[in-house]
Amino acid sequence: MRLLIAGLLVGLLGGGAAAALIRPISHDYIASLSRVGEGGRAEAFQIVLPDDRLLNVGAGVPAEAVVPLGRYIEGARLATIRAGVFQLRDARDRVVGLASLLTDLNTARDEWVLYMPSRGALFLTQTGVQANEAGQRIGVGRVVGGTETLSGQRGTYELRTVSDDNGVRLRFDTSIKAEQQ
Amino acid sequence: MKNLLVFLLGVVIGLAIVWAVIWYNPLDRGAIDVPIDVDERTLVLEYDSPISGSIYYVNSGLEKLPRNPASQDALFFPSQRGAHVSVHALKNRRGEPVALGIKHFALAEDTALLPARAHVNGAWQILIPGAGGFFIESQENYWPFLRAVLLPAAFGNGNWQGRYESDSTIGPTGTFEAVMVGASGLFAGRTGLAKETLAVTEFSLHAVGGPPTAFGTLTVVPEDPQVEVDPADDPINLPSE
Repeated sequence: MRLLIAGLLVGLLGGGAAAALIRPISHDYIASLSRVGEGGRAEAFQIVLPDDRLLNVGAGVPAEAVVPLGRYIEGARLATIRAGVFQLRDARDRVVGLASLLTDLNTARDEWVLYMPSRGALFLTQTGVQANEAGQRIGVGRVVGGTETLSGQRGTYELRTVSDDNGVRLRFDTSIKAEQQ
Repeated sequence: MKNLLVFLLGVVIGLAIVWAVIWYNPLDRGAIDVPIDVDERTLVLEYDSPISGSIYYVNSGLEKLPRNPASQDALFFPSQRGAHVSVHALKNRRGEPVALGIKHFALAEDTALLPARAHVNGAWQILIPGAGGFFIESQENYWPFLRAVLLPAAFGNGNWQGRYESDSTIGPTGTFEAVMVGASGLFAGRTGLAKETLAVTEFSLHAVGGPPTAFGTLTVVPEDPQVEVDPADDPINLPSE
């Protein structure tokens, strides 16, 4: 009887401790590379193409990988949308999460989510295109919000396209700070 | 030998009691009915299961769920563990696709069995042609879904049939709503509240394809009363061209 009770206690305490303490998820912490200044925080993210592209569907994209959206959706209402899903890297090329893109070709404005599990997402919406001194076109826009540790963050971003030996890099330079709506 | 068997019997009984406490958890509040009123400003967008009815669905494989297409490799970087991304055609109440939505979500680090928490943190990105785009910040508790659907399927033959419907949203607001953040078009500069409802009649851990039997509904209420959407110009419920 004593052994039965001892086993019962071990089962209760062991199972209870496991249920209370074991966390099924713990993301490897990758230190943010954000730089803090007076105006807020600056941080760069990257997508390397074609390696980081997971999905590219929709209209108007001159790439072989694009799958017509009509394969999935009947009707013309969504015919002007392009959608993409990508792996997201930080400035040191470490994969820190995922990114997604939606574009309505009628407005030619990109909307991005940069998502880092357990850290949060940044919501980006393009407002225009500018040219720098070298004549390179730079997408510019607003960071309109975020989630989790980035909730309430707002600011601006620039998106540059850079070609190198590994392919094409999309580089986001974000500048954000916590703001009350 | 007999003593060892008696001890092990005690351990098994103890573990069974712990499991019973988890299953009939007194800390489990069950699904929360998120109090969002549906009125003329409300956008109701429905979507099919990521597994069987999405345009695309990828996950890290942590929960042993299929991906869509089935040939899609799992996400494998440590930072993506427990992460999911799904791309959906969002339909209006007449079943017509009117928007494209991408949902990111990942198991939250505070997920634990004893307090009945299967929390996920998520972000929706939604674009409605001709109207504009917005984002949603959400926190959900999948424990009621796990307990009612996923675990019975996992402990059985991988399939579940029945009727399950409940709100999954639990935040981030203190009153359990998700938060809408406007991006462009009609939604630029606007904020609002939202919630997500899950409805399942069949669930399989095996198959991709076939008719969808699990559905989600996003209910979104843009809050700015200064910028009403004129029902006559409502891009969500216009008839098909």
